[in-house]
Amino acid sequence: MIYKGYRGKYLRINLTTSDIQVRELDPSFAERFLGGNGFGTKILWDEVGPDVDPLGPDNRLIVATGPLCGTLMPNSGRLEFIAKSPLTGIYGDANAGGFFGPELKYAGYDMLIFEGRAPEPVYLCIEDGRVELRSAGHLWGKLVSEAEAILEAELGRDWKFATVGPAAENGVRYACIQVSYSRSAARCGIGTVMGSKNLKAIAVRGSGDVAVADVADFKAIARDCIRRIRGNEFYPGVHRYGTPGLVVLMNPMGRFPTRNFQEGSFEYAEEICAERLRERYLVRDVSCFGCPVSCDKVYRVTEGEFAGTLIRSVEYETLGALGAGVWNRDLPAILYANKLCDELGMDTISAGRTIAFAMELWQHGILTSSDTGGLTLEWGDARLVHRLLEMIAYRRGFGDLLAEGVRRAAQAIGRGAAEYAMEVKGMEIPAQDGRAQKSMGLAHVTSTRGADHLKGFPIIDETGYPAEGLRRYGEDYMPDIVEPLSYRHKPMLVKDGEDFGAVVDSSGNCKSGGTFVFAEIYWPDMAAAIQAATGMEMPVERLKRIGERIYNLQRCYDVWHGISRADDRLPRRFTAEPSPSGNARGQIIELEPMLEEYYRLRGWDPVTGYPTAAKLRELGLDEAIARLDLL
Amino acid sequence: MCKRVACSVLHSITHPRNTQHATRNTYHGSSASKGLYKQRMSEITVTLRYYNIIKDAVGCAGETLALPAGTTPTEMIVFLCQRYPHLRPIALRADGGLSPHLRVFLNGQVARPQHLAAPLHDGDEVMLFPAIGGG
Repeated sequence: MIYKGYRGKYLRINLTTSDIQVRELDPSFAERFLGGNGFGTKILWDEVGPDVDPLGPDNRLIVATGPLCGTLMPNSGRLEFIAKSPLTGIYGDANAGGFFGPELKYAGYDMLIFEGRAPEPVYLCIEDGRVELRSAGHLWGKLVSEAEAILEAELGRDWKFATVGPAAENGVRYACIQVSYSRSAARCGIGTVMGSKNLKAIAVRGSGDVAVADVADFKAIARDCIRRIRGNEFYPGVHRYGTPGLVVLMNPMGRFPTRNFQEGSFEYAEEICAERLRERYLVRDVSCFGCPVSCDKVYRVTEGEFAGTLIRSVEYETLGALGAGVWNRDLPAILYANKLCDELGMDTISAGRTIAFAMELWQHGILTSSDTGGLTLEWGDARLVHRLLEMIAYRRGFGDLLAEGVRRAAQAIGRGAAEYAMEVKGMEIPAQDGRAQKSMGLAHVTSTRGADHLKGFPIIDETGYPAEGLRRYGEDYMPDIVEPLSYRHKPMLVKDGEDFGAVVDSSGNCKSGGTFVFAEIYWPDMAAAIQAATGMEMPVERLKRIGERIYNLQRCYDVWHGISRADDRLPRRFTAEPSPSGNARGQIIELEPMLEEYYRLRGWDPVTGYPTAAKLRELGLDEAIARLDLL
Repeated sequence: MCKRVACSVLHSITHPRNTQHATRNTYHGSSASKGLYKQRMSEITVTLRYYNIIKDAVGCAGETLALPAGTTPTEMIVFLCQRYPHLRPIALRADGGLSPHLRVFLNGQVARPQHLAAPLHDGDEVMLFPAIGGG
C-alpha cells in the first residue's frame, strides 16, 4: 500500500510497440527517492547506461510528480522531466510549473516513463483511467501554440498539455518541452529527447484528487507556509515584478552577463528591465497552480514592429540571454525572440548563449561570412537574432551548427573557438556571472546537469541575507557566508542547496516560491509537510539523507558516463579574466579552494571527484559501488 | 510622481537615463537635522535611482536631491521615508533602523555599513532596491 500524497500508480509507455502498462508504485521506492527528481534519477540509473544514445530509442523520458504536487501546500504545481541529455551526454533534467503536474495526479498517476520510439508521430492522451496513444501526424511540424490549439479543438477544454515544437522534431540539442504553452521544461535538451521519440505531446485531464495522511496537520502547515510567504520581505517585489526584477539589481552587481560574458553589466539594462516591462506591456499577473506569489505575468507589445506580440512567462534569464548577452537593447524585439523560442520549443538560455558565442567569434575574426553563409554577426542585431533562432530550429544553413550548442559548435569550428565557449560539461551558462557571486561559480561546476544556477541555487549570499545566514549556519560562518565576493564557506552553502533542491524538485514544490528565492521554507518545514502529506516518518535528518542520496546518485550517473574532477572546471574567462564590471570589478572565481572544500564536505575523492564507497554505503547506494568499481 | 518640495532651490532636470520620471529636490533636513544643516554651510547634490517596489512607493524612477554637506546615506534614507510614507515599511525596521533587506548601491558599488554611515559626496549616485532575489 503506497503512502498518502501519491496516487500509487504510474505508466510505462513503450512507444515502439504502443504497449502501455499501469504499474504500482513501490512504497520503498518512495521512501528512498521521494518523487519527481529522485524517481527520475533512479530510473535513469537503472535503465539508461553509457552505451545508450540520448537520441536513440533506449533513452528514457521520465515525467514525474512528487507527493506535494497538487496539494494545498503553496507552490506545489511543479513537474520534473528527466532523461540522458543529448546536449551534455550526462544526467539531464528540467522542471516546469503550470498545471500539468497536478492534473496528472488527478488523472491517477504519479509518473510516466516513455521508452522506445514511435514509428510515426503520436501524442499520449490520458483521461483518468483511459490512456491511449493517438496519431500526431497532423500536429507534426506545428508550432507549440498551433499544436495545442488543435488538441484543444479535438479534446475540449480543461486539458493540460506538454508539447514540443519544431526544434525538438529537428533534433536541436537544446529543445524544450512547453507545458501548457508558456511554462518551459527548458534545459538539457529534454524536449529533444521527446522529439526523438516521435512524441509530439502529452494531453491529460483528471477528475480525481490527492489524499493526504493528516489533513488537519497538513492544512495547518500549508496555511502557515502561505502566511509566511506572503509576509516575507521578498514577496512584494517578486510578486509585482517576477524574476525580471533582477535585471537592474544584477547589473550593478556585475552579475548580468553581457556580450557573451565579456562584461557583467549592460549599459542599457534599464531599457530591458521589469519596470519597463510592467509599465509598458503588462496585461495581467498570473499564477501557476497553488501559488500565492504570482511571479508570472502576461505582456503584450502595443507599438512598433512587434506590436501584437502576446507573451507569458518572461524571465530574467531570457532577458539576459536574448538581451544583454547579445547586446540587444530592443525590449519588444527580445519579447518577440522569447515568443519565437516558445513557439519553436527552444531553451532561451542555450539558444541565446549559443548566438552570443557566435557573435564573439565574429568579433575576434574566428568566424567570417564564409562560415556563416554570408551573415554578419554584429552585436545588438535583434533581427539577426530572430533569423538565427528560426535557422536553428529548422537546422537551416549556419543554424545547423548553432543547433548543436556551444561546446559542439566550438569543437566543429576549431581555430581557438573553445576559448570563448561559455559552458560547463556542455551546458550553456545562465545569466549568473560567478565572478560577482562566488558560490554561483562553484554551483555551475558542481551541478549534475552541467552549468546551472538552479541545482545549488545559492541565494542567501546573492546580495546578502544576514539574518537568514545567521539563522541557518550560525555565528561562526558570518559574515563570509552572506558576502557574495567571498569564497569562504560557499561549498557548504552550495552543497546544502543541492541537497535541499533535490528534495524540493522531488516533492513537487517550487524553488521560485518560499523555498529558495524567499529563503523562508527550509528543511524543517519541508519535512513536516512531507510527513503530514505522506504519513512517512520524516525527521529532518532523514529528509536530508534523501536529498543527499539523490544528488550523489546523479553524480554517480555522471561518473558512470566518464565525468571526473577534470570536468569540474569553468571557462578560463571566469578563473583568469578579472571582471570589468560593477561590484565584481577585478574579481575572478577562486574555484580550486572551493572545490577542495566541496569534495571534503561531500565525502568525495578529492583526486578523482568520485563519491567514495564509504559515502555511498552510508547513503544506501551500495549498488553504485560495484558499478563504478569504487572498492 | 515625486512631489517637488516647497523649498526646492534647484531646477528640475532631466534624468540622464530616464526622461519621464525624474525630478530634482532639495532636502533641508528633517526637524532633527535642520540645526545640523545650518551648521553645514555647503550643499551637495546626490542622484537617486529607485527600483522595483521602491519606485512604486516613491512614485518616480529617480530624482536629484540637494543635501546638506555631511549627510550620510542612512540620514538621507530616513528623510526619504518621511517624505514618502509608503517607502518606510520597505526601507526601515520598526525601530527606525535601516531594513537589512534594503539594498543600497553607492556609485555602482554595494554600500556596506561603513559606507551608509559616512558622508555622501557631491555628485554621488545612490541606487535603492528592495528585497529581490532568484535567478
